[in-house]
Amino acid sequence: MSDIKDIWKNQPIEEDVVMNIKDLTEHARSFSDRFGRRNLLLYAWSAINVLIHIWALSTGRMPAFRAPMVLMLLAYIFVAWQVWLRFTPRRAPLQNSGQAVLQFHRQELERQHGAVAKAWLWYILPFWPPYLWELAIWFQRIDFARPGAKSSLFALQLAVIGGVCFWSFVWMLFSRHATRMELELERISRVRAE
Amino acid sequence: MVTADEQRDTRYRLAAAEFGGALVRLARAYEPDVDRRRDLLQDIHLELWRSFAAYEEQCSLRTWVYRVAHNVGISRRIRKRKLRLVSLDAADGIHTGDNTAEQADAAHDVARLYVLIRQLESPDDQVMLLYLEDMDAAAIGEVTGLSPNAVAMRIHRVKAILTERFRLRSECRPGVRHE
Repeated sequence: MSDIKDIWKNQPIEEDVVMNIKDLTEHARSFSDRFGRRNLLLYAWSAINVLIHIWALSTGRMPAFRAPMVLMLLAYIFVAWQVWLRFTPRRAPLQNSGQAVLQFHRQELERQHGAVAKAWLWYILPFWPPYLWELAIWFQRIDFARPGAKSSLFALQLAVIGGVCFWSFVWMLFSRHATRMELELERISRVRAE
Repeated sequence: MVTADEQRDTRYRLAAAEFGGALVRLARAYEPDVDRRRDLLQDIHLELWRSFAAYEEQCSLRTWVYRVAHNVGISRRIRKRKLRLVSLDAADGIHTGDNTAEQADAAHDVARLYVLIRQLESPDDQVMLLYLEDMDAAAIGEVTGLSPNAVAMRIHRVKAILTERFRLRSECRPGVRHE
């Protein structure tokens, strides 16, 4: 068995084994600037929607929808802030970094699970008041006496079904991830109890 | 009079000089991609340097270094959402490539070990890594937080896997004879 251990310990090392402290402090500063690809997509999605809403508001398009559009704009900004707050890689508090690995692992999973399990609250719910408000205005503006009312109503129904499907899908993604984390947390608890 | 910052810097340099090689091997086990691995290694060194502000000899230097390094690796793994890993008991299903006589050299063995470790779930991967770094059961328990029984059980399994998978190499080595 010492044979394989010797091979392991004698593998060639090209990397630096001691790092310059000045380089490390610079690396510390750049740490908070690094985001995951998924977060970047969420920021990009929010940014595009914020720009569209600002453009629509500033050009005075669809004046009847002005108030819910402002609310929707705020919802996008709020969600982007929440993603930054909950998912940006942050360093563990100093007192945690030297903890036994299982304890640390459990704490990290619990922290992330908290964010994912409550996604309906901070990621989905903020969009619903302006969305429902927009639908209500849309419905109110349909003149049922006119011949085109039927197609307007059909478009409105499509918007409702599309919205429900989209947000159900988002909720399902978060729930699936939360369930996987719960299973991992249960496994860690079992291992700790061994 | 030595300031706290100077003490931290000195401790970091001592720890990195002594365990730097092990940290490189650990980073390789957590991250197969070369660029990301460099980044991870920097993160580990940075966290180690930071952590010495809270180190009050509550455990040995070696235990502290391995705890901090594995915790950085774990954080990264959770962020990557890589949760579908297997236990040592299911390691038979991990394909690490063939171990033919022609390929039975040290580099090939090391590459196969990394493939194996990267697919093990926590804390089984840590137990295997620490075992390969020649740590005993008590020290592995201290780093991972596992009970002595749980460590002993895992080491037994690690030894069986290593014997089974890396036997051929020893058999092919000149001068190594098996009954």
